[in-house]
Amino acid sequence: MIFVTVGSQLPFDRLVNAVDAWAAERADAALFGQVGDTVDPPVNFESVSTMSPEEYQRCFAKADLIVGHAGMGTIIAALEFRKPLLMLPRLGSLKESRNDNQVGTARHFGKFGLFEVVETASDIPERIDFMIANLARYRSATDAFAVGDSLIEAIREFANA
Amino acid sequence: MANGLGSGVTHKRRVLFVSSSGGHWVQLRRLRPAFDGWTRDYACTNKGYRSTIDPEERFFGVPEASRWNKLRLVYQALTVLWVVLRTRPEVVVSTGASPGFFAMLFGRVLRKKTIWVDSIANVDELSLSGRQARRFADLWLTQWEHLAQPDGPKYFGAVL
Repeated sequence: MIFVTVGSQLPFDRLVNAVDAWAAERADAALFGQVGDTVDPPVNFESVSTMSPEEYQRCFAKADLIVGHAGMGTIIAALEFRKPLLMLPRLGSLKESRNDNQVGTARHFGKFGLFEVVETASDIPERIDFMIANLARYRSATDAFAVGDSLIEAIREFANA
Repeated sequence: MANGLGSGVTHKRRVLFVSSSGGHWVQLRRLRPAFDGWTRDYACTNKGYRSTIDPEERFFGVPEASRWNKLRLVYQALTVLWVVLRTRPEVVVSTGASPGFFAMLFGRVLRKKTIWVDSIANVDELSLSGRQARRFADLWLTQWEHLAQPDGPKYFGAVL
């Protein structure tokens, strides 16, 4: 199953519409979306606007592939569940976000073996096909993921000082 | 450990975590181990997160606001103030955004220790709320080494 998510704050029509166009050509593909207040909700796969944290976790657990924005909630969940994630960063200039900080986030996390980044929505269909064909490779990605002990220790020390 | 005003009863120390929803909240939760053994309270704009915290933890809802709606911001600020007064924490921690800024502000005014951990999403520069929180954060951190400066923000690592 492909889980499409735009996060809890703002809609992201550019992403949802591109995945919808891909899904139109792939009647056999299973998708589910969390698409926020999208202007044009997808017609080729089922979706909800928002979901509870529990439902969100269930969708991540079930998914083979995540398609989403370059938001930290999505990135951390993908790392926690070890799911390949295709990211399209939101652009401030298109009012998809307050600024372009997702471009920088995507640039840094795009180096992780579990993640792919596209800069334009038109690259999404091709990249989804590529990721589906290479799922085994993403499963063997070994990106480190642990709570940063040095950060926790610094905070603990400061709180107890 | 803190002691209950000579009553002989030992009270657990209290920490208040404040953030907006989504990635800020996920990162905030990952800081929990720094406060093992403390009484932990949370305030967030997404009331759905109430069901995700541990049974011994407490949750307070905060209204959503954006910096373009001043009236909502005032309402949010007053709610955060109420939560800080109500929970009486020793330490206030936030990862962002505007509710976290207000938590730093009122935490400072009410003489709590304040800790700002800027979201790891801010790779190229500190968040707006993070820059504004500087005046009120006793510990002011970035999660990117290249954003650290001699006079702050400091860098001690990241939540992942």
